Amino acid sequence: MAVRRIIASADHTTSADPLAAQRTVDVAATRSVARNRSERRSQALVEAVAKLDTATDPAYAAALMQWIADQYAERNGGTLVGIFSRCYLGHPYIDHRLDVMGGMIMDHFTAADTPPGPFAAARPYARSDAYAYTEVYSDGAVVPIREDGQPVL
Amino acid sequence: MNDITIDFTPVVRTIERNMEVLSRQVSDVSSDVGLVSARVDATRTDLQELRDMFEQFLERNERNRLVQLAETRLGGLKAELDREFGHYAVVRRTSVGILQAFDVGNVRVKTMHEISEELMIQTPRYWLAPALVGLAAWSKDDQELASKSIEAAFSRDPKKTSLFFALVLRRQNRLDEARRWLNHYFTALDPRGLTREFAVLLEATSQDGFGEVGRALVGTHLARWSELLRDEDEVVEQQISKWLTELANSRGTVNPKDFEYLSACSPDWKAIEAGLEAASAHAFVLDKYTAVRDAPTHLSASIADRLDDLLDILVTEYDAEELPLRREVLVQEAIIAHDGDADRAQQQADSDIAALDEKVDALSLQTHTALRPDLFGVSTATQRVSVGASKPDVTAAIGRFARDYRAAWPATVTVALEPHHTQHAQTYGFSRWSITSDVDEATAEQQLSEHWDSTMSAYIDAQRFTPGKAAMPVIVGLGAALFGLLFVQVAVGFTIIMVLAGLAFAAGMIFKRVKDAEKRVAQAEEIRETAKQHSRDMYRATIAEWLDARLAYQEQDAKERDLLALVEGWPA
Repeated sequence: MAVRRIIASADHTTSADPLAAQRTVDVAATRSVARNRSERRSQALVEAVAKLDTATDPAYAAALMQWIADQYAERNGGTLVGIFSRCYLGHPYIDHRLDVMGGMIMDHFTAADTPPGPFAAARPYARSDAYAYTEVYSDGAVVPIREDGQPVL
Repeated sequence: MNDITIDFTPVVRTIERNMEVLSRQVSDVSSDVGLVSARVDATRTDLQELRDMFEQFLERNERNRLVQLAETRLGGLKAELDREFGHYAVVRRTSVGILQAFDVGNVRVKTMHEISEELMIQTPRYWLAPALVGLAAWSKDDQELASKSIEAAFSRDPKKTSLFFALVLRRQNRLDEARRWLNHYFTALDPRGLTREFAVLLEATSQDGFGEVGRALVGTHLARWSELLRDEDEVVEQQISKWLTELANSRGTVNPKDFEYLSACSPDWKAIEAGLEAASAHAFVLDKYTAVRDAPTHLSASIADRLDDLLDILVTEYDAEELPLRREVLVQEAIIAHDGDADRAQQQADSDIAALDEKVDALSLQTHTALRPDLFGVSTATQRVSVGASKPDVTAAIGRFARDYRAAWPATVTVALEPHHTQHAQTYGFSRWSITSDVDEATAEQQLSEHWDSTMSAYIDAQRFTPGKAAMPVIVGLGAALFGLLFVQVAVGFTIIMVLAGLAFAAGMIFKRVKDAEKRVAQAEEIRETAKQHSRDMYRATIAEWLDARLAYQEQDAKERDLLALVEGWPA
């Protein structure tokens, strides 16, 4: 797999555990999790996810990722495995994932690559202009998000 | 010693005669046995027929018994209904009469009053009697009596009393008062168990039957119920799934002739076809509901009649306490109608009872009237209100529908040329060749060309000149030379001629064969090039059609946005 790792800072993942906040999500009632997940994503969140590509400064990118992870933890809409979206880096990369559970790593994929595990199911949505990005949850749910932040559930 | 000759002939004859007689008798017995057997068969058939007839008789008898029983029971039930609720029928008839008298104005108020008071005493528990007293009191301006009677009616059946007065007052053009009753009626309703009468009211209010304020009133109640019912995920899922069905039913069909090569040369055609058809649904639904949104709202003249019908139904319909008996009546009537066929009777009775009990929650009613206004007998105006109230469900359904077909839409497709894709392929044993659409055209065509080369290499090689093909002329030439050598001592000249002729023949023949082989190879190579050209054309046409299909898909797929915008901006 030709994966270009933009940020793979090990010390970053050990210093701040992105899942610490999200673990509390599991004890929340399933019903409220489903409700929270169906709420519209804020415009700031959608924009932040779009910026993942263009953030060249590692410190800024790390802060951005952390902010996104914190936003999801606050939403209390289930444990987020990661985010998958179109890639604007240009040829040969077509899409990328933000692996939240795997330690805040950005992986970029070419058309020939097969995105790992549950992220493969998100790939058709990354090809569609109708969605800004796609969320992948630990319960197997793959949720495309529209440009206006509305999830498709 | 004299020889004694005994002539046995007569004895033999006698024996033979007896044998013959015996044989005839045996034959007679045999034929008798056959006859008996035939008779036994006939008897058996008769018995079978008798048995069938008997069974039929039994069945008919059982049916007759059931019909008779049903008739007896029906008589008893009707008598019981008459005894228990017969006076209700009098009230119903009277109320229709009083309402008509109100319209015509040819009956004295006193008469109305007397009749209604009498009914009040005769029918305890029935809501319509005090309602009529109230109506009569109203007509003679006796406010105290009117209030008392209406309170009594309301306490007996708040829902029906409210609807009754809302409808009566609307008939008298007292819209403000009618709306107050309508408000009472809505408050008394259970949003989980609405009946068809609510659909008629919905229709009346959306057509301004109760004025602008009436429409707002329905809107408020619908919104409140929606909010209440939307807490129940199961109910919401049901509505979404109905809208999903609507979208799925709106899919267009793709004519495979429009994608002649793609449909023939791509194993992914089914997925392409399904994606194109699904994506086309947006445009159809968009057209359909844009027409619903833009349809002019003109007050239907029949709406007043419909409300009167509703009033008629309200005063004549059975009351809840009568229903158990009415259900039983339906069952017995079905048995009689189906001539004692218990199974069918039960089926019909079940469906009739279901219709009698038909209740639907507010969300489902909105969805039904939004999707199938004809089934509920409501107009486009009501449909518009219902679509507006179903906004969250429609949006969710559109999202899911598009998400699902997008997940299944292929990013790249396989182009496969089968062994029979052209006449050449079939003739020269072309084996299946396939490539994906993301391989660039030059590479793909190069591969296709190489595939044809390998397909035809054996055939072309077979056409080439080989030393073996020179054997025959060489043997003939040598033979001629040897033959000439036999005469070397007799005629040297002949020998020389034969040797030369033999060599010349061999050389000539070999030369000709080489030339022929060259020609055949050239021809085979020409065939190969033509075959390549045909296959390449097919590959190019398939790829071109795939690009067309993708463009068509993108164009149709993008209409999801328009459809969502239509729903989002739906007039409240």
